[in-house]
Amino acid sequence: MNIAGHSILTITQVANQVKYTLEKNYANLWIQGEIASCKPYPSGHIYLTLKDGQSELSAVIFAQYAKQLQYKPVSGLKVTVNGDLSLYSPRGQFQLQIRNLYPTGQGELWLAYEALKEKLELEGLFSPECKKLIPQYPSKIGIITSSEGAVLRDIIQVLNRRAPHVSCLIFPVPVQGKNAAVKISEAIESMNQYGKMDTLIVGRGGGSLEDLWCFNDEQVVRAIFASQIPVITAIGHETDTTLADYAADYRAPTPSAAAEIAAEDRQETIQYLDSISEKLYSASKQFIYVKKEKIDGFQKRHGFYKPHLVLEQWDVKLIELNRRIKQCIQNTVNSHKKMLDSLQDKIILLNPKTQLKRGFAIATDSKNNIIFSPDQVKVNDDITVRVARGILKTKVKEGKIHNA
Amino acid sequence: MPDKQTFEKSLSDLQTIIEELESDTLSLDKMVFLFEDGMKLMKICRTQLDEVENRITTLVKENDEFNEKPGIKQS
Repeated sequence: MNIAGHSILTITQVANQVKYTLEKNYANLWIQGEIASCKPYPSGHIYLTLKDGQSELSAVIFAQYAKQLQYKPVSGLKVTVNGDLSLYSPRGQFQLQIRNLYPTGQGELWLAYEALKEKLELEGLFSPECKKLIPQYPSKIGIITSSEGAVLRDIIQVLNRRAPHVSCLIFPVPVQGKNAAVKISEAIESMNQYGKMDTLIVGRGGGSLEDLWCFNDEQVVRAIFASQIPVITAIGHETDTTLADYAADYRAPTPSAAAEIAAEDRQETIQYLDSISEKLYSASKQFIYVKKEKIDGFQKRHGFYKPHLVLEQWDVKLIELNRRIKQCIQNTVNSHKKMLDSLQDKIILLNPKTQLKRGFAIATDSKNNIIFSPDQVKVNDDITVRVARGILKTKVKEGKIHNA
Repeated sequence: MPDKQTFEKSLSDLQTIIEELESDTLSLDKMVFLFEDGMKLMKICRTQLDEVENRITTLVKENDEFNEKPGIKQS
């Protein structure tokens, strides 16, 4: 809105502009002060005021950050905080939105930590793609930790129980103090040089920030990243996270957990092998069964039967043909026999001897010609008359021809 | 670590063999062959698990050389 050349803003417009400027220019600040008052709300947000000698600042830690705080804010505590400035417009209140909070003193350490963390993260030392898989079935595990203390004892105990066939190679190191970082990184390098192991566990028990500090050392982190052998870290308590943990291929909450990750339980592996063995057998049996079914199927099909049937059919046909041939032969023989018989009868009839037996005679002249007619001979010619039982020689007395 | 390769590789080879056996596209010869292979691999795996040596050694550097000494040595 514009009146007489001045632009007139609403409260909200002012608030928004200020908010924008604040968020743009006052983001990611590190601020030191003392907590003047502190009140957690049921929502999970914590509202506090910070002060120094002359000034005061309202602040809020939203629930999602409050959850992850490593130090509890209390009234009177001197703190170094990290957060962004903003404006809470409903109240017109200037507000620091805190993301992280450390007791001052340790604040400096933490600043260094945060800086290093950011630097290494940018270099990609923590990137998930670089993480190696932890071998499930190692033969040998390397352990870098203090030779005294519970960590080594716990790891070995768990490995003994779980995977007695796995051997352990130890590289003892100091796990706190000035020398620790150097010794630890050297240990990791030496183990890599020596090789012959499948996994490394780097561990130390619980302790204060200073105790654990060597695992935030750049040298250690780089050594872990560079390790060809997969590294499991088990440093401090579950809530402690060091830079070494970020660089590791796996971060275990406790030394025992590290040992459990490092090796599969032997009994479970044996059972797994048994189940594979079972599958081998049943898959093979199934295979054979299926093939056998197929073969049986073939046998039942016509293709195999038919020759059988076909042969039988032909057999029947052959028998029939055989019978018919025999029949034909028989018939032919019979009919010829009949013919012969009738011919025989005829022949018998035609036999002159048969006629003679009946009383007929055959007359022949002196030249042996058969006499059919009287005019073949004259009176007194000699003729021979043949009768059934012999011959008569006689002379012609008289001849007479039959009429017609 | 050649041993590790064998165990884990053996397991994955076994899985492959089982898949092939279940696939139904094999000849009888190949099936027998695979089965025998599977048995061999099983044996290798079981043998490795049966080792109950559980040696504990410490890596010590002597004269620029690394050696494994039995037991736990102090740092």
